[in-house]
Amino acid sequence: MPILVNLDVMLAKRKMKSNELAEQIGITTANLSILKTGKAKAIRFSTLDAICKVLNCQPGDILEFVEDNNDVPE
Amino acid sequence: MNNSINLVKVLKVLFRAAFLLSIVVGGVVLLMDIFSTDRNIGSFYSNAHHSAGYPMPVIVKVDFPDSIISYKYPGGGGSITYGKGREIDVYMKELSDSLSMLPNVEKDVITNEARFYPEEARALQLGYSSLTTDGYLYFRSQNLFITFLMVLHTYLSLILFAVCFFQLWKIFASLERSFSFHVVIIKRLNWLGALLVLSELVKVAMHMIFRSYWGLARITTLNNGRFVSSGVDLSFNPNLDVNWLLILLGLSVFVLSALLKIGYNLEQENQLTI
Repeated sequence: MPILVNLDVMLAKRKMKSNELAEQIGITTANLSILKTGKAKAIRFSTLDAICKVLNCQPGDILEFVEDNNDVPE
Repeated sequence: MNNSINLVKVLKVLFRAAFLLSIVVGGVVLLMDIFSTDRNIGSFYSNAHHSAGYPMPVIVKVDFPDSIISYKYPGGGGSITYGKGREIDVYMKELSDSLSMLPNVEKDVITNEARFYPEEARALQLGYSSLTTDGYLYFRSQNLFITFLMVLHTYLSLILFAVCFFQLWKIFASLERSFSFHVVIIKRLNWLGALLVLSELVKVAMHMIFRSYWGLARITTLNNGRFVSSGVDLSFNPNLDVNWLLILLGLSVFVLSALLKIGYNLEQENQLTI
């Protein structure tokens, strides 16, 4: 997956714990864990909006595009 | 939603009962076939038993003349047969017309009538001299391969019913636990579709072998070993008996299963959307 989720980096920068963030944005810790570990298939705009508001950051601070050589068409 | 779950519960119970019943009936029939020399146990009567042979689907055709006029005259005699749809020989027609002109002819008329009972009072006479219907003939063969095929053919339907009921019972049990898409349901539906199509194709292959082995069976009237055209002619032709509905149902189940797989993937995606 060429999209990386840097949520743990932002959490460390803001010195916030996962369960605090989960509580504030209104999702379960299990779902937040899925998001952090990159297992999520998609993220809702409403969730992204809530995360950005709580962590006071931009979507680009959380999501990063990394080129995957396997996905490059020949 | 509640109605659907209630229906799922009812269907689960029904398919479970049907599965258990098919196992019990199939088991009793099989045990009787193996261990008993008699096809009756009390009032229970087994349809498939080695003592009477195994059923084979056939097309039964009955040809019969409508009327047979036998005539005798000094120095000779003969008979004229009339049948609807049968060509009457010109010579016989002339002979029949001239019969009434002859003074010393003894005539004996036999009429074959096809009647439908119990409507005896308003008996329907057929407009033709031939009847065709589907049925089963019980055969016993000296050929081991054919006997094996006949036994397999007989029990295949029982096995198919039992396995289909089992799969449906498990599908509805799974739906009762959680009314959503499951990989288990998809796999079971694939099994069900494959079973319906394959069992029907195997049956058709068996019917083709029976057909090539037996060809045509016939019951005819013989007089001193010679064929009598005025008699009733009964013929049994092994039937291919293809149940297209089951084959189409099996193929439709495959399509449904593919659709469920898409649903399952969408549900998974939805669950992993945070």
